[in-house]
Amino acid sequence: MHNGGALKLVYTYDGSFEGLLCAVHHAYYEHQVPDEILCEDGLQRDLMACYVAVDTDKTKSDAVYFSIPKRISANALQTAYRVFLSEAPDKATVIYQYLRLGYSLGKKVDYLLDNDWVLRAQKISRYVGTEAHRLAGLLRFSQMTGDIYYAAITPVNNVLELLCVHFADRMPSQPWVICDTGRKTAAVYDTRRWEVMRVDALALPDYAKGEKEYQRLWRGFYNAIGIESRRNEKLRQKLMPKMYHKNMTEFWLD
Amino acid sequence: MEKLSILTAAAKYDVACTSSGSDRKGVRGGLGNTVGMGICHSFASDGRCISLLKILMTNDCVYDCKYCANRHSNDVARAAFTPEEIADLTINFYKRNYIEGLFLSSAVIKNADYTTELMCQALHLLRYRYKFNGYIHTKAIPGASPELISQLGLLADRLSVNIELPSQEGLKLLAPQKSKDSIIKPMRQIASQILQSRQEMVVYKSAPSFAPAGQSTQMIVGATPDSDYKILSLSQSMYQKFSLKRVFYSAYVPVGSHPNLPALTKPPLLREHRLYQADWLLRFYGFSASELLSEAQPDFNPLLDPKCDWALRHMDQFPVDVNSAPYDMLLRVPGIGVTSAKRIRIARRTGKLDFPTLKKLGIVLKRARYFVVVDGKYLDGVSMSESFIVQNLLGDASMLPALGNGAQQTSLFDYDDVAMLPSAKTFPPINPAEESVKCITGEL
Ligand code: SF4
Repeated sequence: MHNGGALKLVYTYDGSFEGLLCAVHHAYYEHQVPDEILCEDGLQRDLMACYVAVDTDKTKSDAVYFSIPKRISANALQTAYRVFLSEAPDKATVIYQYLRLGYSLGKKVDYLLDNDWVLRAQKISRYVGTEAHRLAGLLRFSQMTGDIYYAAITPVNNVLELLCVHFADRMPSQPWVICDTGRKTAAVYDTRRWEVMRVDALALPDYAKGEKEYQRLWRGFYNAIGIESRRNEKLRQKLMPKMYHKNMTEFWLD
Repeated sequence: MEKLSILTAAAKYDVACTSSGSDRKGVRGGLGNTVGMGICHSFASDGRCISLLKILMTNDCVYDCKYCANRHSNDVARAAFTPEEIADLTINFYKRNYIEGLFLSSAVIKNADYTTELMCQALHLLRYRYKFNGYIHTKAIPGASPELISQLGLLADRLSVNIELPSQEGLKLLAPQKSKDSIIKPMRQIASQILQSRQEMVVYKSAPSFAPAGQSTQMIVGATPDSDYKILSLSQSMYQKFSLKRVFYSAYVPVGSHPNLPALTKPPLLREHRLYQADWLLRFYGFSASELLSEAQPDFNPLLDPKCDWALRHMDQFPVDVNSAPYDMLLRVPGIGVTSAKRIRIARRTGKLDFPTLKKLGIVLKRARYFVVVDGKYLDGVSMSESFIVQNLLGDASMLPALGNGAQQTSLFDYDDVAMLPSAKTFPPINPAEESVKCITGEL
């Protein structure tokens, strides 16, 4: 299936989901099957490869976007998007291959459990979903002056948007801000809609009155609820990995 | 602050801490939703999931159940919350995302009705003043009047009445002020009101819902001489009669000495673990209590999980062919869980399965290999004698599972399939190494 000679065919895109969908579009209409799709940022060029830079065009990405639920399944769109939110180095290629199979098989693509691409797409997607679900529990808000609830997260995957969907439903009448301090992005919710923006430095207001007291109460509760004779440090570690501790109230000091 | 510690410490032996079973969207102007699969907000030092603010209204009890730290005759610090304090704490913890909701229980203060009234007040404040739409689980106090229990049910997502002791004799010995009747009566009432409310909701969408997440109960394991068979049979009949959502088991943690109590130094965690495994088999795998245990074999084998143990006693039904075995039978294969069985069912629609494909599907063959064949052949191509299989499985069993029931309660995973989740830190390679796959709870 190589397109002319031994050169590897590599598409590059701008790093956005739309850009990636345009690469899918391009391959389809050019009757090409790229060996890899990579993000332009931080690209290391290989001498034995031929590079095609795909432009991002809203009409084309929309066409692909809306065709996925129609021709494959709503589930496939979700899988593709979740893979996109991961940091897997080969994610764009995985999404492309998964969708390519999807276009020929329809919704049956998800039954093709012995295909490496399908399996990998599902695995990464599940991994992203699991992290989002986990953080939906482990994320901690603090009340700031002005009645804004603020939370910081540092997830492995870019799950901020998935969390916004959850918290907008959970606290519809409460303004909140969730900041991914690693990726320097923040989601701001104003009781009507949320928006993700880039933040380089966030000027945080002070804690609201009483905030410290509730944090202390929570730590008190947390420490009182464990049963000493059943102590199981390994299990706790496994269910709540250390990497999440720094943003969690129960591990802060008074 | 001190009050919170006292009333938390007093509530911690209650194990029901899932927030699952209700699925309700948030509403404008209100606070909170409920999520069907349940969310764990933290994990305690014993590895158990913390999902609900689990507290007692008070630990000042007029009863004197021997196994309980709150018993009247015990010399402990006493405290009580007002309904306002409960509501305030719940709302403030909820908004900070510490918890998914409230699990309110109480010792009996004055009498059962008075206690239940206080609990109703707290719930009423939450639902109406604070427009709290999140999850609430409360205990119904045995002996409370039916009217009050029905009020409670209209405010809560889940109600539970704890059986605590699996037999009448046990109750007499250790909880003389409670009778089987005072426990069964509210359970029956709750079951019938849940049913009635479901039927009404079909007709009128806006009919008030009564405990939409159902009813659960808890039994203490190891405080009385009751056998596993007795306990499991009781669970089974309660699942059937009262359509319970869950039965929780709690290994008896010694909280005092009394001539009527067993002299235990450590809670019987392995026994509790086996009961959870068996309970899972009742609810999701189509087993019945009398298949797993009997009068002749009343307790679980400590070395083998209940499913494996059953399979070894029924070797005439094995091996089964992965391509042709009915789904119900796949579920009975040790090492194959609900997720795995479903994946096999889906995958065999598009083609014939062999062992390499099964591995790719993420199905762990470590145990299943002794029970499944492809075209009449085992994984290694050799046929195995029964004694060889027994030996191998017992060999595995020498590594007893890591204990703690937090894992069963996360509800993200089901039993056998924990292995299918990618580990947290690394991206799964295309073919995950078998060794990297570890089970938290031990495979069935
Ligand atoms: S009624 Fe409940 S709180 Fe009171 S002693 Fe008995 S078990 Fe403990």
